[in-house]
Amino acid sequence: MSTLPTRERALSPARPEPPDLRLSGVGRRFGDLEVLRDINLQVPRGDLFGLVGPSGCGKTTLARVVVGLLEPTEGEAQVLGTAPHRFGPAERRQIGYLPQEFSLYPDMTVLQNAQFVAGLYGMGWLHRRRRIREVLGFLDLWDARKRLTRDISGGMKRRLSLGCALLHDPRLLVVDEPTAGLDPELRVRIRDMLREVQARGTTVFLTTQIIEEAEHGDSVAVMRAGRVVAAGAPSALRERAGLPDTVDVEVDRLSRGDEADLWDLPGVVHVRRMDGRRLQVVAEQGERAVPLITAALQDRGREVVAIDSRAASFEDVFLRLVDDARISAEREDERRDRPPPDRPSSDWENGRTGGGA
Amino acid sequence: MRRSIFGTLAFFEQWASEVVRQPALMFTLVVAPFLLLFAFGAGVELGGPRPRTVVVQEPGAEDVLRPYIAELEQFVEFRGFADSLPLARRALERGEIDAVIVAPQDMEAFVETGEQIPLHVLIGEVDPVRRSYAHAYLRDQVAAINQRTIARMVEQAQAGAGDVGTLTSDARAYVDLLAEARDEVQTARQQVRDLQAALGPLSRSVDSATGTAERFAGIVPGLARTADQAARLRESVQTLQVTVDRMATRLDQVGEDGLPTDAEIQELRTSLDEIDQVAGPVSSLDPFVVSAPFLLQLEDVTPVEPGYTSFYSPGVLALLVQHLGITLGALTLSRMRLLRVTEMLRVAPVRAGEVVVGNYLAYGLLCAIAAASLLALAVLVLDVPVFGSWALVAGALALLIVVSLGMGFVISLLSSSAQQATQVAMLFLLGSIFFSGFVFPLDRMQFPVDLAAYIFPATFALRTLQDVMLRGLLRTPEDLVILAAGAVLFLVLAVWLMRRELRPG
Repeated sequence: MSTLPTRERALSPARPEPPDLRLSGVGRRFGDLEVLRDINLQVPRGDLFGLVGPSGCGKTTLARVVVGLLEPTEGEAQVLGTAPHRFGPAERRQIGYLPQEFSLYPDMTVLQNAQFVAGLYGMGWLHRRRRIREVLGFLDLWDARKRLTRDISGGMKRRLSLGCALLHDPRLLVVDEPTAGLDPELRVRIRDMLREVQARGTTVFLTTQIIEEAEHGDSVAVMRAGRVVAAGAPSALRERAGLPDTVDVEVDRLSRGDEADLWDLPGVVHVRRMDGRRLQVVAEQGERAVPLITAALQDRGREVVAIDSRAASFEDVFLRLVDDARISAEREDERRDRPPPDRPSSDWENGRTGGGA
Repeated sequence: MRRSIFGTLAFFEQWASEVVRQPALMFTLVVAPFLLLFAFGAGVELGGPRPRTVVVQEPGAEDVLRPYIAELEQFVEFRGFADSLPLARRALERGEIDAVIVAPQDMEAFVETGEQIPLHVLIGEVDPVRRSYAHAYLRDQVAAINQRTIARMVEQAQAGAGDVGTLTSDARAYVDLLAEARDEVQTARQQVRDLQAALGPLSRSVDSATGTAERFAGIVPGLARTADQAARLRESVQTLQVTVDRMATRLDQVGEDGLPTDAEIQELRTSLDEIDQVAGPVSSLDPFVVSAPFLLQLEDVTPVEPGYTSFYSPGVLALLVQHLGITLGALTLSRMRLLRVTEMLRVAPVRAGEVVVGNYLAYGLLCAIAAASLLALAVLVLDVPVFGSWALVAGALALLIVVSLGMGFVISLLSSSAQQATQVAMLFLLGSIFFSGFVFPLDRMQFPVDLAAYIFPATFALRTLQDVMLRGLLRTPEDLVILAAGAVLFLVLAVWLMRRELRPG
């Protein structure tokens, strides 16, 4: 796999850079159907931003708003300083978009498709030739350049689409579920490629259903039912979810009473015996619990063979955040549906009914 | 500007990549229509059909009809006689024959009573074109039979008139002898009697010719003049007979004093000259001139005598180019939509005008190659002439391509699916075949249906191509102006609709 040249930053690092993407109260309706609601997000320049959420939650719609395919019906979107639906050719030249579905010509070769897209972006023949070689090489597609697109695998098609989105060296790359339907190995490859693209200075806006993919980003937003229910750095989200850590313990042997002692340790939430030598301890703060658990077991004459603390999976974090959002939304709905308590008319209402100003 | 050119050319490159890989496409676009045209030109017979015909007649009447059948066979494929009209009718209904002629019974009786002989012909044609052709053809053939009948009658009359010359010559000899025997009563009396005897056959011959001419003059208008001449002839002969009879009576009664004077002899000579004068033209007339006095001298001022291939080639070319343009235009953008390429275009820095013009360039070139190849094959292989300017032919085709592609793009941009776009393109082809003047002449269409003809660009191109190729001149230059206006209109419409297509949702 070859590498791509590093893109130069347009602004001096000394000056504060405006975010590449800023969404304020963005909503989108299709008739009566509200698909996006009050989306507030910022993606700083050069970040890898992951938008994670279940299928049908509005990720693709948001991605389409970001690239200017859809106009928000509420709120304001600013991408690279311009409202996306008003993008002109100059702004579009700075955006790369990998749509969820393959949108190239199946009867053309990999190389011809790349040339077509390069032409659309106004790239001259000489520049195009060099750049296509770089990008296809980077994506391990150069050797397949003469193959018809309809004959290449799904993974290659995704990489070709990604390549076409990268050909013109965009400042912002919007990738909509790039790994959907791919095997784990390919998913990791594409994730690494996106990391590399980011590393050379491109802001990446990634939507995905695969929660672990978002975890590798600089910032993550969790979507549910058209709303962003949580956003921030992965560590901040983890903290916000407040999920306990898990400490995996292996000793020479376990006997009755060992577990009971661990229950009494501070911060321990749960203890589970896995087999005759292994325990799983759920603690509020894993790093703090490790020495306490080690000491307690040694006091009981056990030899600790291995002990390791791990944070809750990001999937659990996601589920917790989504669940919290669901509960919060239900409470909000309940509060809204509850009839208002009887109360005397306010002065203001009196004033209005009285005809005064 | 540079980027815009590259953006526009991207579509051209994309098209070239796809076309180069599909040699069968060019075959379908060029060779196949040419082969169709070639087969059409080679396989369709020029001239009218020879209907398979059966004649229904009374049993035993074959001999009477035989001379007529010989004439009939020049125009129809005679399949034989039939005794039963219902049987012949059934064969006609089953399509085994094309026409049944019911032979009139006792044709002479009609003639005797001065009535036209009814010729009952049955046909069973459902194709309106062939039906009206059959009507015209049969009328034509009946007229031809009439003409031949008249000629035969004239010949009969002439045969009688031919004897008159010999008989007047004999009579003139007796008049000469009479003149010489003026002082001898006996000799004169004998000469007058001989003259009387000679006038008898002359009178019978003239009576026969006049009778024939008068008998048919009532039903065959061409014989009227001949009958008049024959009647004058009869009158002259009768007058001469009366004069000679009077002369014979006087000689018998008065004797020497009754001898004919010089003036009377001269009068006899003058009467015989008159008879010769009247009978001469009758016998010298060509029977075909009498039966058909007008000779059609048709001079076609067009520089070509076109066969089906030459005549239909410009139309096929116009229809094919229009269909190609509309279909390619309609399918190109529908396919883009289907493959979601439009989504990519909406994100890319490419303008609606660049997309449309790029596709115009790509598919315009394809249509131009197809049109040029087809034209070249038609001219070189099928000998289709181009008498007018090649530049005009090229110009008309170029305008047709641009306007057809524009229509295709517009159809595609207004259609919700590729199937719908294809259907509309097919409707345009069908409509063009009916209304463009390809099959039916434009002047045969009634208002307001004739307006439909002007929806199709092929109408204008077909007229221009036919005129320029086959007549060598451009009779309706406004057609090119209309095509150019259509090209601009559809280009603008296509760009506007494409802009709408690429607009954020």
